[in-house]
Parts: sequence; structure tokens; C-alpha cells
Amino acid sequence: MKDLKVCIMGFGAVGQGLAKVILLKKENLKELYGVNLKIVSVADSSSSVICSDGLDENELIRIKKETGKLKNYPEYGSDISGLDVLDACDYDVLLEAVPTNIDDAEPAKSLTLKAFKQGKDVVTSNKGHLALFYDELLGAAKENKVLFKFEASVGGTMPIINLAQETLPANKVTSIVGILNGTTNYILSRMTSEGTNYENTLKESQHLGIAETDPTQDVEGIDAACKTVILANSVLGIPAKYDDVKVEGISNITSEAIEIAGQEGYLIKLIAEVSEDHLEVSPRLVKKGSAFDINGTLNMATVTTDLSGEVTVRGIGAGSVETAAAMLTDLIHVIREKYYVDD
Amino acid sequence: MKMNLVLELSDTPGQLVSSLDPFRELGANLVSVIHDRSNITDNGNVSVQIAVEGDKDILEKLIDTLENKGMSILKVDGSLKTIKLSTILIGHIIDTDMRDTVDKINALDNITVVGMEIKLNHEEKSSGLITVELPIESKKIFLDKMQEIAKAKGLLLINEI
Repeated sequence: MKDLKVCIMGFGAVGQGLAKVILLKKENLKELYGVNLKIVSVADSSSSVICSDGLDENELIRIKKETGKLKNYPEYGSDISGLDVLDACDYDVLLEAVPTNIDDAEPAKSLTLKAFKQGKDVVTSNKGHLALFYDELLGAAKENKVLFKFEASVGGTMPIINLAQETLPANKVTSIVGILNGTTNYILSRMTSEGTNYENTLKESQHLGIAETDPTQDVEGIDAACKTVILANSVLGIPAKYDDVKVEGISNITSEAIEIAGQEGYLIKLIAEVSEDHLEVSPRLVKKGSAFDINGTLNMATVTTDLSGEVTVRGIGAGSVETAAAMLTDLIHVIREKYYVDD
Repeated sequence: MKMNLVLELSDTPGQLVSSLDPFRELGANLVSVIHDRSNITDNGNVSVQIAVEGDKDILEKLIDTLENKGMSILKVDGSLKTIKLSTILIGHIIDTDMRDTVDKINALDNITVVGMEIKLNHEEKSSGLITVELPIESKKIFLDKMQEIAKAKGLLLINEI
């Protein structure tokens, strides 16, 4: 049985979700692919825990939850952090889940490029580095002959990149239109069902932990715009940059606008649109009862193709275990391609 | 000559009868009227298929009259399909001259404002829904014009998908 050693960078909601899904699925992976999945290093923003024999998933989560720092992990906790973690242990695949940074994409960009140079495959849930440096990253992965997978960066657990690339490769995708941000969809859904105004609904969402304390990335459409750029590049082959996307968020939407839209049979949704001549994130009117009529934090996307017509998917757009599940799916792609020999 | 029309009417009593008034007034000869109330459109309206006979100028006048009365003509002899499109503006839509906004839209060829709903709120940001009727091929002209108006007046524009 071959060991597959993974390094997890970033141990927030998604990182901890990874520990959970690995614990749940590693026996399965042994049976199906004959690989022994081991977490050999995990890093948070200022410390790490490293052990080449593999770490205990439950203990990792417990230590992080109870003490806030991974360096408190018995025996193997360490002050090593950041890029140095990648030198401190031998690993096969980097699972990168640090927070998205849309200003300079760090530390995700440096971590990813370093892993590539070390000849390691990388699976990410990050959006910042892909939205800002897509070509550079994909070029570096190719140059170093490693795999770079990022399904989890768009739509959480909802399949969209792999759907287009792996499931519909006979088609040319001409456009993708969808709801790619769960927080704003939740806020707009609540404003519609409760008739409440934007400010109060945002506060309620923050209270429930659906919107972040600083909600800017979600409510101003920045998060959805990053995903638009990633889909444009990865699925439609458009060399788009973040600045190419026309972005308008939902903070100016009034409850009155939602009400009059409703009287005419419409809902207001934050829609991302990706096509050759159109990259846009903006509030739009959609028909009640249409594929865009989804509530709460769900995501959806309609992929328009040349041969298969329209294909629509929907699913949970965020969340710890759900996003980690998309990363595990990408990791399984890596396993199938590089580690699994069918005899 | 003979002409086939498809009208869209709201599903309320009296609509069909009043839609037929112009036919009588202009002396156009009704050949058949098919009013299918089981076939309701997305916005809760019903479509009525009408075959009519008369001189060319009378039939042309009939269409104008129906349109002026605010009737939605979906098809004339199977062509000239018009669609309804809604759009919302949010901001100081009254202060930035709503009348002017509507005039600018109506000035476009074949594009007519057929509905409007405005809600004011205490924060003085009002919200307005405008519904227009246009031939499907004029959609882009309309959307471009709305972008231009919204930009010039500093309004948030919410278009149909």
C-alpha cells in the first residue's frame, strides 16, 4: 500500500473540514485506490504541526478549537510557519485553504508556486491567486509537470469546473450564468420573504454567521467576480483578469425594488455572467419559478454548450465540509491520475 | 386582405370585448376569434388569436389603434413578435426626471413603455419598475439606452437576465 502524504495549509473552516472528510473517507480510498492517505503537516497563520507518520484528524481539530494554535499539538506542534512548512516535511500533495486575498493573492500564490517548484501537486479552495494570476499559475504548474486543481474555488461543493472540463468535454461552452455567492443569495432571499431592508437583513446574516463581520467581499460582488474570472479562464478559455469584470453588488438594493419586482413575477438575484463578450456580476431580474429561483445559501449555474444545449447545476455554495468535499474530489482526481494502478 | 393577430390580454372580465371595439369602429371584418383561457402566459395573461379581413389601410390603422389602447400584440401574421421586458431603476429617479427617462425610451424605434410602478421610501432612494414592449431584435438597443440613462443619472439599473 502506497502512502499519500498531504500538507494542509490554512486551518480555518475549510482546513478543518478537510481533516473531517479525510477521516471519514480514508478507509474508502484505501479500498478503492490502494492509497494510504496521511496528513503529515498542517499550518495555521502563525504555527504548524508536522509529523511524517501522519497526524490524528480529531486531535488536530480539537487542539485548534480549544487552544486556537496548532503549535499546541502534543509533541509535534511547532513555530514553523508559512513557506517554511513546505521545507519542513516530505509531502506529496498540498491542500491549500488559506483565506482569499484579492489584493496581492498572498500567501496562497507563494505557497502554490513553491509547491510547484518542489514538484508537488496542488489542490486549492482559494480564489484570489486564480483571479489575479491565472496564467502565471497554470503556466508554472505545466512547467513543473504537476497537477493544479481548483474545483472548490467556485460554487463550493457544486460541480462546475470539473463538470465542464471532465463531463462535457465534447462541447464548447459558450456561456455560464449563475448564482455564485451564497451569502448574497441568502440576504436577497430573506429580503424577499420577510420584506426587510438590506441593512437589517445583513445584520441578521452576520448574527447567524452567514455573512462575515466585514461583508464587503460578498455584498459588493467581489467574491462572485473572482469566480467569474476563474470560470472565464478555466472553462471558456478567455484570458480574463479581475479588472475585466463589470461588478455591482447588492448593497443598494431596496426592499421596495424587491417588492415591485415580485408584483410582476420577478425576483432580484446577484447574477454572474460569463461569455466571450460579457463578464459581469450584477443584480438582475429573474423569473419566479425559473432555474434561478433558488433560496438561502444555495448556488446554481446554467452552462450553455454548443452540442448539449443548457446544463444546469445547483448545490451548496459554501460551508466547511462541503467545500472540503470538493477539494477531496480534486485530490481523488490526482490519485487516479498519478497514484492508482489498476491491476 | 386577411390578417392573423395574436393579442395578449389580462385574464379579467371584459378584456376580450373591449379589445374587439376597434375592429367594429374601423369596420374590419372578424373572421374568427380563439380565446383560450386554459393557456395562461408567464405573467398570468391569456392570448387571443384573431383572424380579420379588411382593406390594407384599415388593417394598419387597426394595429395602431390597438397599440394606442395599450393592447399587447404578440404576433401579426406570425411575424413581428414583440416581447415585454421589465427593468428596475433604484436611486433618485424622481429628482432625475422620470418623465424624461420615459420620453427617452419612447423615442426609440418600436419601443414603448407599457407599464410603470414607483415606490418611494424614507431614505429618499426610490425604486421604479419600467415595463416596455419591443420587437425581440430591439432588445440590445433598449438595454444599451437604459445603461446610458442609468449612468447619466447615477441610478442603479437592474435588468432581466
